[in-house]
Amino acid sequence: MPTTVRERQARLLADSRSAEARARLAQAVSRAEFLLRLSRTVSAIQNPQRALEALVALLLDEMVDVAQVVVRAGSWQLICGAVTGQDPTCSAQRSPEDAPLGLDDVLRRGMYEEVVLPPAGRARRTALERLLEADLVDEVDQLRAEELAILPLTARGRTFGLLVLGRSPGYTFSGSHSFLTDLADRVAVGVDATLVVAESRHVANVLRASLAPVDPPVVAGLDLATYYRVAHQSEALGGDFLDVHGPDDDLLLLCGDVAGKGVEAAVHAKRIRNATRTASVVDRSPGAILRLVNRVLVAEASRFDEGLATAVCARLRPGDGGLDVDIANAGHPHALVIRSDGAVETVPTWGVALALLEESEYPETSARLRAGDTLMLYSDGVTHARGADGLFGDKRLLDHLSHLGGLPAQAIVESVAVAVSEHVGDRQHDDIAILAARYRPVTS
Amino acid sequence: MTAVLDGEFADYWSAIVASDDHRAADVALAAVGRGVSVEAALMGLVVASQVRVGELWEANEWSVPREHASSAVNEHVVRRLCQDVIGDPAGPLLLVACAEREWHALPALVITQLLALHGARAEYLGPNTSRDHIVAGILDRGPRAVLLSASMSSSLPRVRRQIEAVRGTGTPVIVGGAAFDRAGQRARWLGATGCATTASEALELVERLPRHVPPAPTLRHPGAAEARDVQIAAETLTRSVTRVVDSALGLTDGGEAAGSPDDWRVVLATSIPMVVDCVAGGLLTDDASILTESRDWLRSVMDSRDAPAETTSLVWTALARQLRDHPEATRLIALT
Repeated sequence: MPTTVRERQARLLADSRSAEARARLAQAVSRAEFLLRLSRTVSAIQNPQRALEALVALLLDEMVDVAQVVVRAGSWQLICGAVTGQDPTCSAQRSPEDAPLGLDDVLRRGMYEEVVLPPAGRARRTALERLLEADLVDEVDQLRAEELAILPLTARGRTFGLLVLGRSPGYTFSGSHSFLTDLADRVAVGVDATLVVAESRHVANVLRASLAPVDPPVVAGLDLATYYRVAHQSEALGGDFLDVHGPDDDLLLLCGDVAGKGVEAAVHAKRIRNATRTASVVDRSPGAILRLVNRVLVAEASRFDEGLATAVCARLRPGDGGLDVDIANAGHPHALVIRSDGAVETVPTWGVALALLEESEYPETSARLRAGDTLMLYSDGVTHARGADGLFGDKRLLDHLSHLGGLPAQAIVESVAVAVSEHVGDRQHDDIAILAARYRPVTS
Repeated sequence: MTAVLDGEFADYWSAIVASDDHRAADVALAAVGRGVSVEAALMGLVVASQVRVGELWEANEWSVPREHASSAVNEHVVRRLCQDVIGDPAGPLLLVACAEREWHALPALVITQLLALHGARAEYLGPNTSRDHIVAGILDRGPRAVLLSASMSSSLPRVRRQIEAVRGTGTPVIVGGAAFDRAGQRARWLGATGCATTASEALELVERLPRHVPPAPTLRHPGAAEARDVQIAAETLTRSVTRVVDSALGLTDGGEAAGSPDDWRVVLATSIPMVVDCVAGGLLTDDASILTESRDWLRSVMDSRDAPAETTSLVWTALARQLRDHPEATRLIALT
């Protein structure tokens, strides 16, 4: 194996300026093929650390005996280096304290350089330490490399990283200057794109974490489960929202749906969740909460249809021999009660959607859960899911639920989600949110 | 090594029967307290009970909702048993995903925990894992490999798309689960980097995997083109087969009137799309045994629900007729 690697290396980096035409052509073909593979590898892996590991591994496999890549991104520095036979591992450091000292200089200059290494002694160590991460210095020293090529990685007018390459004794980089410059250009473009993707993903993930609905809390006497799936998978955010808050003996459940999809809808949904939590500090009755939230939304909306949303809000309190439920509804699908024996009841509540009329009223309807009964709130993504034979629809939902009486909340939620998913098949679905609360009195 | 006792399984099973997640978790935790390893408890209680639930469903003794309920209980137990399990921070990072449209999350959840017990850093991405979700996980976390679990052979066409997505990022992908054969033939056809049946096998495999893999090569065998046709026409195909079978059996309303999800007409209506997916899977992997398995499964499910004896062969005849212009599909169906 080592011989074939040597031969490949020899061909890619051989100084063929004075060779015959056929050899030059063969080298040009190998180089072009290698550059293509390199670009593909670097661009395909859009995770910066893994992309750098892949880059170093490929360079060691095919071209050189020492490879180190350093990139700066924000206040971070990624560094990945290895010699032939090692498995490259990329590490992330807060730059530049841990960086080899000479890197800053070369980064500033941003020029291709060939550094001839002193043959031995203190001077050799110093030269290596200036450019290589600490783990690599001994390895390269022992390899007796005679020179290092330093290639700046420049994209969008900015040198953001460096590639350091070395070969075993007897081999140099002379005659390969333009090939190596070309190589560095391709690496720079690929890595730069990967860094841009990673940076925007990081920002999006922070936002997403603050907007996404949280897992339901553990509540004594209740078995809670939620299901949440968004239409725009790549955004991982949607306009449906769920919330559960308050003390165990006076709990509020909220399920809603804002007009629109994606990140704009998610931001608005978060605002409504917050408004609901704030309103519930003033008054915990669902009708009053929706009334307050509605007034805030109407006042904030600058256009007639802006901020349009529907929501159903339920308050759960232990009562005589059961759990008392008060429900108010702003244009949302009715809450359902699945009795432990499988009877399914709609809790009829009417109110206008949020953010439409300033003085909307939200009358409350009451229901009582006995042990094993489940209250289910859901968004219209369930009933409006379109499949080969029309919408999923209320009838299918109610039929389906009638077989789920007394089951754990998680089983109910999942069973509905599966039924909807099977109905939809490979089609695009809307945002879907389901919240189930099964009354499970604590026996002491 | 301390094993799970028969009495413990019996207690656990009665908690499953009662859908009592708290009691099930108590039984499992007590076993661990007695010296049973978490792994043995997972295998001997959670996995063993779920296997039994599957058998009871197939034999029409348990309903679909009860199956869902037992999964929910078992998932709860896995989370309780494993809440203190954290993988070795120096171990390889692995993402565990499920086939799209597969909701049997338990195998993947258990595998995730077993990987962590064996020293990997394993993260579970949830049931029915979309390609976007897996790729997002790869971009953010940069895993050493993705493990993809598939329980049903009807998932194989979707598994192929997931493999393409994962390999498109250069990440190795190991597949496993009941949808695959032990020899790993189907996995190889679909372009997986590897195939494993247990957590420790998967970890050994991870050690030997290339760090980066090229994109999955395009499938060019004759069956691949037909598989695409079948996938594109899946709904039409399903409708035609259903219509033919319904009229042969004298069903007028396509099973819609039969309310219970366990009525054979309802099960038949939901099974035909799976059979069609199995044809696509068989074509992609040039493997007639996928169709044989699918037929045997359908027959067993139909028979236990007292469907007319000829139901399964009617489905197969209708399928063969609908696909008569596809030589590869015809060949595979003829082999079953």
